[in-house]
Amino acid sequence: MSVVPAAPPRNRTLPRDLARGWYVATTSAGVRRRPRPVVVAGRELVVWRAGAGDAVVMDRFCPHQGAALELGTIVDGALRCPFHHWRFDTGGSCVAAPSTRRIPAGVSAVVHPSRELYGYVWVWIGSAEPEYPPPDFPHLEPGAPAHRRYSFQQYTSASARRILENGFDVPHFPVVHGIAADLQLDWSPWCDEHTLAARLTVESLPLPSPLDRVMSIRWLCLNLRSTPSYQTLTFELNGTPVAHELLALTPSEQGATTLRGWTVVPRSPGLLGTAAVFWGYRLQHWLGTRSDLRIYRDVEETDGSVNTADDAGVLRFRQFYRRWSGHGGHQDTAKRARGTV
Amino acid sequence: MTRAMTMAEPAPVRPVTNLAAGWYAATASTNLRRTPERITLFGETFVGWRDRHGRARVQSAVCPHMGAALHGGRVVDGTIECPFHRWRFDPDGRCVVVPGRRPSARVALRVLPTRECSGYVWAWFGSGEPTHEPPDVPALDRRTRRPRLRRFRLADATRATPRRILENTYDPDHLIALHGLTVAGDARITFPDAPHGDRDGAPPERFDAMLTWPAYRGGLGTVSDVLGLNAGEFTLRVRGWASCQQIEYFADRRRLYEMVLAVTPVCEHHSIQHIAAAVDPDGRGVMGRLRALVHRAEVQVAARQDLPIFDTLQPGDRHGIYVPGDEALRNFRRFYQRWVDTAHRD
Repeated sequence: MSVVPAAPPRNRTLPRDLARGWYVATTSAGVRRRPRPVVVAGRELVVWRAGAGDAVVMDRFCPHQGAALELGTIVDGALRCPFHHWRFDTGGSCVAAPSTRRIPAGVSAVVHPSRELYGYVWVWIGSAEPEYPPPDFPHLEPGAPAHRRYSFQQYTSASARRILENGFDVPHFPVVHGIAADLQLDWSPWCDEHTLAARLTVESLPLPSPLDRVMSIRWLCLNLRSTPSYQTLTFELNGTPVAHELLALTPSEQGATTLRGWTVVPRSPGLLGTAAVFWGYRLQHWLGTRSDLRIYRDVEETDGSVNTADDAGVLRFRQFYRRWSGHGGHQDTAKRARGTV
Repeated sequence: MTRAMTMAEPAPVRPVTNLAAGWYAATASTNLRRTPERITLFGETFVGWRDRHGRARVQSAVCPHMGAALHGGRVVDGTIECPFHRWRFDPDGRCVVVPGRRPSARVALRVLPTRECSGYVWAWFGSGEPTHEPPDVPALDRRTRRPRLRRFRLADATRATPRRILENTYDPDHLIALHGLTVAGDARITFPDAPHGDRDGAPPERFDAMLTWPAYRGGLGTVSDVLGLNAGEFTLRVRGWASCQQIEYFADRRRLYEMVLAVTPVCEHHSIQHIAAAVDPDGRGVMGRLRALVHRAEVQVAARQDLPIFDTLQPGDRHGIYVPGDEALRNFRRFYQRWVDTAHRD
C-alpha cells in the first residue's frame, strides 16, 4: 500500500503591495518541449512554447475541470490538457474540445502579456495590459560591443521593493559594503512616469594596500535606472563604464523573491585587460550581494517610521513605487503621476 | 540535539470539508488484527480494533480521561485498554473498568458505525444512523477462497477530494483522452434509473449509471483480438453511492470483473483511493490466466493514470465549464452535494 501522505497544496499568499510591472517568469532555457509550472506574484501559471515561437504564459489550470496544464502536451501549436484533451492556442482560445460537437463559446484560458528577452520569459503582472515597456538592455542585443558577461540568481525572503530600493539607500553602503568615502546621490533629469534615475558618486576611494599600487579610484559612479519591477545599473570607474547590470525579479509570493539578471563587462584594451576587471567586478558583486542578502534574510517589511535626511533616496523611491502598487489602474496612475512629478 | 528537535514537523491534519454522508473505507480488513491500529479519518484520529468475536470496531482514539491515544494501548478481555491509566472501554465505547474505582456511566468513547465486507472495514460518516449498507461483494471478502491472480487491491494516496475520485467514473470523455482508449466510436453514459428523491426530501440512495463504448481499435484492438478480449461493446455498470461504488465490467454482456471503489478521507487534501477487484474466470489454463493478468493490468494502469491529474488539480474543487459530455458529472455533483447536506443534518 502506498499511503504516503500527499503534500497539501500550498496556500499562495500574494506579495503585499507589489508594483505592476514586468517580472521574470522563468529562464527561456527552462521552457523547452514540456510546459513548465511557475508561481509569479502568488499566481499559479504555466509557461509553454509552440515550436520555435515565443513562450506563452497562461493560467495553470484548465478552465474546463481544473487539471494542471503542465501535464499536458503541445499538439499543433496548441497546449493540450491531459484530462479531456481540450486545446488552447497561444492566445488562450480553446481550439479543440474532443467529444463535444462544437467548441464551447467563450471558453479561453487566461494568457498574460509576456515577452522573451535576454534569456528570460518576462510576464506583465498587475493589470490586463502592460503600462510600460519591458527592459531595454542594448548590451545584450545582437551586435553589441564585445564584452564578457555572466548571469546571476539569488533567492531571498525580502520583498521586490526592498531589493529595488537598495541602490537608492545611500547610508547602507558604508555600513554593509564598507565603502569608507563620501557618497553623493543626484537625481537624474531622465526620470519619467515609470523610471526613477539617479547617480551615486564617490570621489577618491582609498584602496587597501596591495591594490593601491596597481590602480586608483579617483571617481566611482553608479548610474541607476529603476522601474517599479526591474532596473539597469552602470558602474563607471574614472569616467569609463566598467559594468552594465540588468536586475530582474521573480516575486513568487509574500516573503519569497528570486533576484536574477545579467552583468556585462565591456572588453577594453589596456594594461589590466578585461579579465582582471571582469573577475574583480564579479568578486565584489558576489561579496556585495552576500552582504545584502544577510540583511534581507531577517528584515521586517516596515515602511520605517524614523527617517533622517540621508534616507531621502529610499523615501523618494518608495513614493515612486507606491504609485505603481495598490489598486490604481493605468489612467489613475497617470493622473496621479502628473500631479506629483 | 534533544529528541524534540529531531522529530519531524507533524503534517497539518485538517478536517475534511464538503464530505457526503456515507460509508468510507477505514482500512483494509487484512490490516486490522487483534492489536489496536491508529486510523486517521475525516481529519480525526480513531482507533481500530477487533472485539472478542472478531468484529471490527472504529472508535475515537482519545481517552476521555486524560487524552492519551488509545491506539497505544492493548485489547484485554474484549475491551480496549488505555495505556496511561488502564481505563477500559467496551466495543460500544462504554467505560467498563477504572482501576480502583467504579466507572462512571457517563464516560464513553465516540463510536463510528462500522461494517466489514468486500475486504474493507467501513466507517459511516454523518450525524445520523446509517441509512443503507456498504457494497457487499462476497468475491472480495478475505474469507472467500480465490486464486491470488484473480483478486487484487490497490490503495493510492492522492490530494484529490473524495468527490473528485468518485465523480471520475461518471466522466466518459476522460476515458478516451486521459486513458488513451482507442475505440471505434464515442463512449456513452446512460442512467438505468433516473435519480429521484424520496417524498420526504431525502436524497436517493444511489446514482447508478452505465458507461458503454464500442470495440477497441488500433494497436490495442489487434492485441485484444489475438487474446480474444475484444468485443462489440464494453459496458461498465455502476452502482454508485455518494461515498463508494460497486462497478461491474462487461464485454458483450459477459462479465469480466467486478470491483469496489472506496475512499479513505484522511484529512483535507489527502485521500486514499481504494480499488478492490475480483476477476471472473475467463477461459481455462494458460489463456485464462493470461486474460486475468490483462484485466488486472488494465485496472491498475488506469487507476495510476488518474493520480498525477488528481494530485495537481486546482485546489478547492471548483466547478469548471460544463459541456454536454459533462452532464453525468454534473448530476453526480448535485447528488453528492445532497448527501453532504445530509451529513450535517441533526
